[in-house]
Amino acid sequence: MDCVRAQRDELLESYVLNRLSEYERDELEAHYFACEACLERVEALLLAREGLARQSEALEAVEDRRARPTGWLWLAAAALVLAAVGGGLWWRAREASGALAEIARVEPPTYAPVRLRDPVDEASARFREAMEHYSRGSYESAVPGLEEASRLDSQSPRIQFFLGASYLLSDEVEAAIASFARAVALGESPYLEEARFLLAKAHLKRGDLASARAELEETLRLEGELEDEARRLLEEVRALE
Amino acid sequence: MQDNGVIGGPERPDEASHPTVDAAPSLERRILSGDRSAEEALVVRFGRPVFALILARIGDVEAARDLTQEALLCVIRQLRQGCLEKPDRLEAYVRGTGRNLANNHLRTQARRRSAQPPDVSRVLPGPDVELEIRERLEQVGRALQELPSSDRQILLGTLLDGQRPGEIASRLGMKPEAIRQRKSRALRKIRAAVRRVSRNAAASHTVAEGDL
Repeated sequence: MDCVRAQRDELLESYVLNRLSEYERDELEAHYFACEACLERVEALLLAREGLARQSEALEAVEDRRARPTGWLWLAAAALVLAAVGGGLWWRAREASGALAEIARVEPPTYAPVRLRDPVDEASARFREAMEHYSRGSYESAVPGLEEASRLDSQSPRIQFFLGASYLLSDEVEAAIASFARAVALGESPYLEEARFLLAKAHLKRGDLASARAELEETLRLEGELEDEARRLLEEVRALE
Repeated sequence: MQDNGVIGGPERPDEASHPTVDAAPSLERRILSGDRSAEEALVVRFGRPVFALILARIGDVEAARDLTQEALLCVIRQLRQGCLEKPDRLEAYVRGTGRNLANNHLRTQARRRSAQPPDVSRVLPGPDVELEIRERLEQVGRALQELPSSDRQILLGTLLDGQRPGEIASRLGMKPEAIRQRKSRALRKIRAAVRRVSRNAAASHTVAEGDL
């Protein structure tokens, strides 16, 4: 058994669906115990199956919500309209700048804390302290510590990424753009795709549609996790240009 | 020595042709000599593949999580006592233990449901296996919600209904090749979600360099 054979002809799917013989199953297990790439594929299939089974009811609710294009933001806006009418205020029709602000809106990137016993260096220590603020939603408070971490280690994509995110969530758009650009310049990393995507968002925040479009096109070329979201956003940017 | 048909197992095909990633012999000897960091390293090395093996066989995440911890603890206890029958066969030994626990679970499922699962969470050395499993499930859950509806339908048909691409293609009015491509793309996104958790976990298990 090797990777080519394991990943061919939907063998991994057959394994997850219990369609293999005992011999084939043992052979495959022996392989992925020693092969990170195939282990990752098996995990993805198993966890996706579990996630789909758990979410089948919740997913139906998500489908309904997408069909109506509503999310919590729209529900909040709808509630605001009702309150405004009731309070004598008037809701103005959405202008182009309002549409731009809407698509430039940013969700805080997820941070999963690293469980180190002790920080291995000063940059990591500053990073970890700063991210405690980030995890609480205090993005402005996270900035000084992340800036210090960046000074101590300018080659860390992770530090640059979260510094950019903290700037962006604190409305320091130019600084965010600089940090995300540094993260991108550091090359291939787990943060490259999201850095490009948020760089596009940052450009949108300052109204630079051309630069946002360029970054979204680069994001699409990476064919990663954000591909669909980047494609949807690109269509909206083109509609505004 | 525990004797409930759990330990190790007969050699399986091609076991000799799969080199282990770690320096497995030294890991066994280190555990035998009382090195607790080696026990943690064993959990790091085998936690994920053992969980995958057990989950693939029994299809129950909660039970697989408990059995994974039980398997690892069982192996560690045996290694502490020097009970590994075949030196330098640690990987096969771990796989066999996981396999036997899974098969025992399937055979005695009713009895297991009523029995108290062993409380291993406080004694298993190294990383929190339960927490890492939960994090992976959360990340995958998010990734699934972000998928286009059609891609999710394809995964549902494949993984829950056991349908082949041709069957799904007929149902969705698409070509089988398109089904394969979209499935591949969707699974790539799921893998990316799993990878991020794995990389964070790996950073916490080893001396961090580069990214941190």
